[in-house]
Amino acid sequence: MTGATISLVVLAIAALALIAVVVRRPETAVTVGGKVLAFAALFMLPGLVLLGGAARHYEQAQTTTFCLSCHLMEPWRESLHIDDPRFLPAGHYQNRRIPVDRACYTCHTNYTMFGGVDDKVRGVRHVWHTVWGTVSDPVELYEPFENRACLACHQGGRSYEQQAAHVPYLADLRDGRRSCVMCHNLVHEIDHLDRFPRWRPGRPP
Amino acid sequence: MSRPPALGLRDGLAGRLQVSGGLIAAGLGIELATLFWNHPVSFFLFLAPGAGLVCAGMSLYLWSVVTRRE
Repeated sequence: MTGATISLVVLAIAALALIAVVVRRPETAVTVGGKVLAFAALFMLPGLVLLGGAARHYEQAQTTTFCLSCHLMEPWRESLHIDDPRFLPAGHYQNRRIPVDRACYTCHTNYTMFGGVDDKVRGVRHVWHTVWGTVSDPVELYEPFENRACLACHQGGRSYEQQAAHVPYLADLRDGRRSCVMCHNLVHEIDHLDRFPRWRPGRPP
Repeated sequence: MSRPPALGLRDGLAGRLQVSGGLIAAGLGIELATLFWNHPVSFFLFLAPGAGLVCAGMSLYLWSVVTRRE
């Protein structure tokens, strides 16, 4: 449990204790002290818990553990361990080119002004479809994968901009007229996972 | 020091404060529970019943205070 969580728990318990006082003796709310107590119990403390809880959930929803906690995502978890560097997610994950504790989020957020909010809306859609059993088969992205996710890290990088295969297409890739995954097309490949060996950290090759 | 006057039922403030407190307490309970569960359903529960109940309780409290007759 983190310090932030402990603080939120303490705040919530304090709010519940004050609410109990206000609910049991509402007549105290006519005095100045009672008004302050009611304001703290019924507005200030719950508001702080609400904002703090939202921030904590927002952070937590970016973690790899969070994304892979649905059993539906099990094949995608496995795809990160394919023992072949040509596979884009596996190569990035195993070589720490992306933060491993935010692996899904790093490549699947859209890096726009309200991208974080957009991600949460999409996340709620995921939960909705999962709960009501309306998940598409096979599972697909709602929108085509955008280069923005790749360019957030690679744009300006020497190994990207001076790579001979990239040079003729740099403008097209930047403007989204050509997709990175047109060439880097070995991605999660969840339908063929049984064909590939797995890499396990700590196990010698 | 005189005892503060009891709130009359006609005023309705006491009842509204109690309802508001109940809504917020229920919402906070749900929010507390979701803090210990790292799962998409936990995010959903925090957002829909948790934050919804807390916001409803806070709004009722503010509305009660603003519309209270002196």
